[in-house]
Amino acid sequence: MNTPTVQTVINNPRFEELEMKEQDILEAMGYAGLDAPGYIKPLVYKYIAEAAAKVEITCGYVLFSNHDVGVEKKCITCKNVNFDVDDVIGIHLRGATELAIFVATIGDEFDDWIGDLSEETDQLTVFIVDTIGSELAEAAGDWLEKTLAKNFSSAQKKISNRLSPGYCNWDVSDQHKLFSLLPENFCGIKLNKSAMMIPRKSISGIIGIGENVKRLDYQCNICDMENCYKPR
Amino acid sequence: MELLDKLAECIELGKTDKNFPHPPHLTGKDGARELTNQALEEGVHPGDILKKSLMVGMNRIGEKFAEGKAFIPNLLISAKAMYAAMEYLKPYFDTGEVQHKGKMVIGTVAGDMHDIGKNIVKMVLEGDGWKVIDLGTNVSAEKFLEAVDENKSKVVGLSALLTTTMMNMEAIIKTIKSHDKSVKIFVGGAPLSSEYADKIGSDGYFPDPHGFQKYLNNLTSAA
Ligand code: B12
Repeated sequence: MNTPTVQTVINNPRFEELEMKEQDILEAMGYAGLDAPGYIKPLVYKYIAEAAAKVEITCGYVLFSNHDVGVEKKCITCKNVNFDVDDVIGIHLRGATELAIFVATIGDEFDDWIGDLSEETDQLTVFIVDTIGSELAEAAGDWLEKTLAKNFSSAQKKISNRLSPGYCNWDVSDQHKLFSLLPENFCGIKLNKSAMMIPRKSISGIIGIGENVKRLDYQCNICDMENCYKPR
Repeated sequence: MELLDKLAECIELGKTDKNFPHPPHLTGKDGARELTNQALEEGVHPGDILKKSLMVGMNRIGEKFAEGKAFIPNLLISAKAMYAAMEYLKPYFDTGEVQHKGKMVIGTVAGDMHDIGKNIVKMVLEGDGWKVIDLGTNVSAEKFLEAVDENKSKVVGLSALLTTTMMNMEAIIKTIKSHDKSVKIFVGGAPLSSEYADKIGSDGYFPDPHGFQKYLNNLTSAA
């Protein structure tokens, strides 16, 4: 069969599809289960509404399959790139026959908006908008995961959690290797020398796909990464 | 309640002025702006307003933040009230009647564009009477050095969000220290740790601005 081993997919979900809620922002700012001061809620509402016009959500992935994919306990292979990873990543990807290298971003206009607000208004507003941007970037990642899961379910394939360099003891500097697997300027994201993505509100990583993949919770019990915020 | 205590409460709770609707129990009452003006009119020394009100209020909210009883928005709203009061004190800083505790230079290191964390540190220190020179983000070693020289600052704060950008701190510290060993350089940001801070030759790591502020106060009072 002549199935291509590499396939590129780009999506632009609408703002509404990310289902951003006021409560998510309040929780991200620390007020989980607590009542936030009264003046904060109207600001959160106002800026979630305004954010809709400032985002250009782009989620994309490059799918590797067949002989391009290798999953071992401490080494993940994608085409000619080997990622030396911790057991945690290996456990998540166990059974994967396909690997999606993904990115998700809310675009660079959002960074410019934060920049403008920093000059025009107070830091509280800037912080709220910054938090909305971060949550939107994560929500774009959630959307991508859901879409992938749906797309592969008809073929009886399951997907792993999304895993990102900088989490689960996976070195952030591997971002360079990860981006070497993506087309240049993929989804409008650039990586600087220090492995930072621009636009700022962007995320990247890998998702394993296969009939025998089991979707696990984050394996925080066997990870020794200090200061990670996942188990919050 | 005495005027200066009331002002400290406004700073702690973030009551910028009379019109600001928060907190509910102070609705319609004077805020930081009005109370500072009133204190000056009553002849209170501006240095006392700074020490007995603004610093006290900022310190209280900083303490709550460090204990997990307040969050960044609380800190920011306090800082907003503090800035409103500071506007009235600025002329006294300009004439030298009130002195800053010291000057510090702060910035997010080269390769890194994230500034929320750094901005919060800046606001907390300004509220504590420091003059803070903010170099912004993506700041090179040369720029830090230039600012240290120009401002004769003996304290520098470096911020980074990722381990990869954190690695650019070492070169910056080396550059500044090889120029003037007596400059104290402190580091902060999500990926940092005390061990890493020691390894790269910094003078300390602080996970939150309040601990940093307290440390600096001890340092300056010991000097
Ligand atoms: C929100 C967030 C994001 C947002 C955007 C971040 C932003 N600010 O714009 C999104 C979702 C886009 C994101 C993406 C990524 N993130 Co992120 N993110 C976070 C998170 C949850 C909060 C960061 C934040 O803004 N905090 C709020 C500010 C106010 O806090 P702060 O900057 O830490 O500053 C405080 C203190 O550190 C201190 N401080 C700061 N500077 C200084 C300086 C001095 C001198 C002192 C004394 C104190 C001090 O005082 C401040 C106030 O308290 C952290 C986890 C965490 N809990 O910290 C992870 C975290 C920073 N991210 C991480 C990673 C890995 C990433 C990605 C690389 C993941 C990926 N592959 O996609 C990307 C990179 C993005 C890019 N552009 O390249 C890791 C970094 C770990 C590492 N090894 O480097 C963290 C620590 C999560 C983890 N694994 O635990 N992220």
